[in-house]
Amino acid sequence: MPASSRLSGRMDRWAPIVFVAPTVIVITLLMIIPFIYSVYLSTLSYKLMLPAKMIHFVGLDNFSAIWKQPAFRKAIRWTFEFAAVAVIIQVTTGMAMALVLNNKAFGTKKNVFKSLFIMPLMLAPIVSAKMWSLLFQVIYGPINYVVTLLGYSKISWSGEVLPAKLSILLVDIWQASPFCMLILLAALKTVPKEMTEAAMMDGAGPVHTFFRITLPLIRNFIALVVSIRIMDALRVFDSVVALTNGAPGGATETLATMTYKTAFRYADIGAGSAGSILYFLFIVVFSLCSFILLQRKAVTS
Amino acid sequence: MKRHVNRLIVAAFLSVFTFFFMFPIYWTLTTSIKPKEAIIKLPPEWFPVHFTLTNYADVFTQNHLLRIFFNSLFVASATTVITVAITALGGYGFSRFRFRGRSFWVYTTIIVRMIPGLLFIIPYYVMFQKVGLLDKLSGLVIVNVTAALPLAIYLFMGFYNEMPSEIFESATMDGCSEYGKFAKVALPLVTPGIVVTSILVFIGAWNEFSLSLILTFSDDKKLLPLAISSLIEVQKDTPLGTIAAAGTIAMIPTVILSLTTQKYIVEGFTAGAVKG
Repeated sequence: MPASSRLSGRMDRWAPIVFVAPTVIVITLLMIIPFIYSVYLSTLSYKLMLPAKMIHFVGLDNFSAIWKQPAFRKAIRWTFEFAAVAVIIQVTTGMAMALVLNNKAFGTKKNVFKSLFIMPLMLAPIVSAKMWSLLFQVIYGPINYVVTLLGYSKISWSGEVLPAKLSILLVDIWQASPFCMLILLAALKTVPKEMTEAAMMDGAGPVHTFFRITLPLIRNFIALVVSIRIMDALRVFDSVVALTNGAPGGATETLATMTYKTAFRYADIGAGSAGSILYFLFIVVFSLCSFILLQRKAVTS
Repeated sequence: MKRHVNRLIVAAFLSVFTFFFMFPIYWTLTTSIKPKEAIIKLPPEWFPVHFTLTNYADVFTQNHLLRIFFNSLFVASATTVITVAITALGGYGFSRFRFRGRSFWVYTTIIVRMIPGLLFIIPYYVMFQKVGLLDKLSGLVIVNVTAALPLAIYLFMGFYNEMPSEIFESATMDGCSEYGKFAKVALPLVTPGIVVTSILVFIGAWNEFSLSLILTFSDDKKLLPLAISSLIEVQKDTPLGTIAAAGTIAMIPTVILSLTTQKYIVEGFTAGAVKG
């Protein structure tokens, strides 16, 4: 056996390590260590404004302090309400869009619409929110113009609780429905045409066919879209900052904006870390639960 | 008859969706080229009559927008190159080899995808402060790579998993080393995957806001999304025209990408979701 091939054999044994080493190093240095460090920070009284020697260990005080804050509880409630409402509407809208694009009418000409519909998905959330803020503008905005045409008085979209919440919801629906559409369109393509056609032949209407045949077949995809979207919706930050920045009176403050403000505006690194760890736990529990629940339903039906 | 009804319904839905999804973009584009008098006008000017570039001129003179545009371009490109280089190798390693600790690392990347960015930003802020990476573009590249890595790894594992194992076996027969197999067999086949991943990572980094909001402060280190969000604070009266112009500028790269590489984007989003 030539020496060179023995050498390459020895080098080959190292191949898995060589390939994954950069990834593993990055994950360790930039994810695992900061995560552990964050847990450590959450047990400290650590204020950015105060000198470093004032930093001291406080155990779980940060957690109990943040948990007792009414503002934090309010933010939890609104974040979950927002995620639930947003995801239901997004998945429904996305489904409607996917069905329309998957319909045989107009054939491939509809592909143009697919490219148009995915555009919101590509834009920066902050840019979309700014674009919508032009539409929501109180005096000159086209939305308020239509509102006055309908005989109502102008709405202050960031000054009143319900309109502020609605505006954040609307922007999120605008931005994320196309994502649901893409996944559900891929899902619809997996449904064999013969099955829906056979049902139609048997005299089932399109609505009946959809709910009895199509929907059960793509249930796993729906579970997936819902859990991905819940995960993202619970993280909503950019559009809140751009549209209301928590106003009015903290009514639209989400878990993300709360933690951000605690850590950086009030310069409390310890409480901010505690908040973000609680926040992470909520996301894990909630998205896992929704996924398991939807998956189980898919199995039983 | 039935066919006509179907066509009618589809057409109706298509128009409603097109209006809803396109109108904000249309409004921003047209507002950006309207003169000031036309922007503050009631009833609103639905179709622009006069065109002007003063909004764009304002954006460029009042803010360091050119500088900011190139900052964004630099951060997004560097993030893309580094992420794709690391994950094209890592995805191959995780997909082709079985070794101890493999599933630990694979599951870690999945869990990391669920972690809200804020959980990382706080320790990053403290660590960056200590090592002098705060308010540096290189610091932003590092955090953006971290943010993009989990999805990119997942996409690449999917791409490599799809490759038939026979091609690797025949390469072994030909006396190819593991490195040779990667370079000569896997890499040419994964090129479309590299395109898909690069586009998604680029768009993600280009659109990123919260990381740069916290980790940079100087005007000349700002990225586009942050610059756009702070336009209102910079100017006295609500600068609708400038916001529209800046928004349009920020839209350009993503719109160009979405029109020219739609096929790859659709694949990336669906593959990332379906496999992730």
